[in-house]
Amino acid sequence: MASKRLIIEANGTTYTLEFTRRTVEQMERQGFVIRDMGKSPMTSLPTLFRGAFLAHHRTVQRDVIDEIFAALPDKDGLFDKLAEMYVEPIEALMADPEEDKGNVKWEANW
Amino acid sequence: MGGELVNRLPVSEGETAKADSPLHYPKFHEVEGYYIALGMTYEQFWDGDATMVRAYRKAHEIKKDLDNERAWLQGMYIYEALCDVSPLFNMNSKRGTKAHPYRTSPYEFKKPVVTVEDETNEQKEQMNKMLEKMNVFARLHNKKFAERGGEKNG
Repeated sequence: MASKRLIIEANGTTYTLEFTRRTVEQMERQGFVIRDMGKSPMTSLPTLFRGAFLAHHRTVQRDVIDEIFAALPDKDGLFDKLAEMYVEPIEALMADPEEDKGNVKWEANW
Repeated sequence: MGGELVNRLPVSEGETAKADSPLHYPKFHEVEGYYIALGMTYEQFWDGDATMVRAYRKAHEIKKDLDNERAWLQGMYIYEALCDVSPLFNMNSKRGTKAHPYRTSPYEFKKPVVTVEDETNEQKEQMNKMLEKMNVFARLHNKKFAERGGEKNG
């Protein structure tokens, strides 16, 4: 399965947002700590958003990114997706997801 | 699987202190060499699709299994060769004893290919045989029934 990406179209340009191990390292070296995101979401979310541009759009100016960010709806949803994307390069190094252990299923009726 | 492999990597000094660190990039540097040894390029590891490492781990597992199978097969050939020459090493063997000749061709692994058509033909044949048997059985049964009926009626 390919890594998680976010495609954004703004001002006639398509941006592919993704995190790689290099961009995660770069962000951490600049002081970004994913664990602390909950403490200061107002500053962390734009930082995370900017970081997602590093992999494929390194040269895009900060004010352009901030402008795109400001115009985006559903910031909560965006936050969740960006956080998922950010942890992916880390999680991929951990144990693989458990495979189906057998013919056992469960289902809820509500 | 892969997680274990990653966890089994050499632990550097101060690892316990690092375990509590909120930073992840030192871990990347720790495992980088491992993935390059698995065949990833430096660029793939750092700039490529982040999930690629999973495929490399999976491929590594498959390669290990294949290598294991190959080693086992080689062992089979060696074992067979030893058995073939074993008469020569028997202290009690007569003069002029020769070794068994080593196999002239490798083991055959290919299974005979059965096409769908062959399979259906085979099934049809089996069905016909069964029908034939049933017909014979029915005829015998009817005959017996008729004889008994005839006896009673007669």
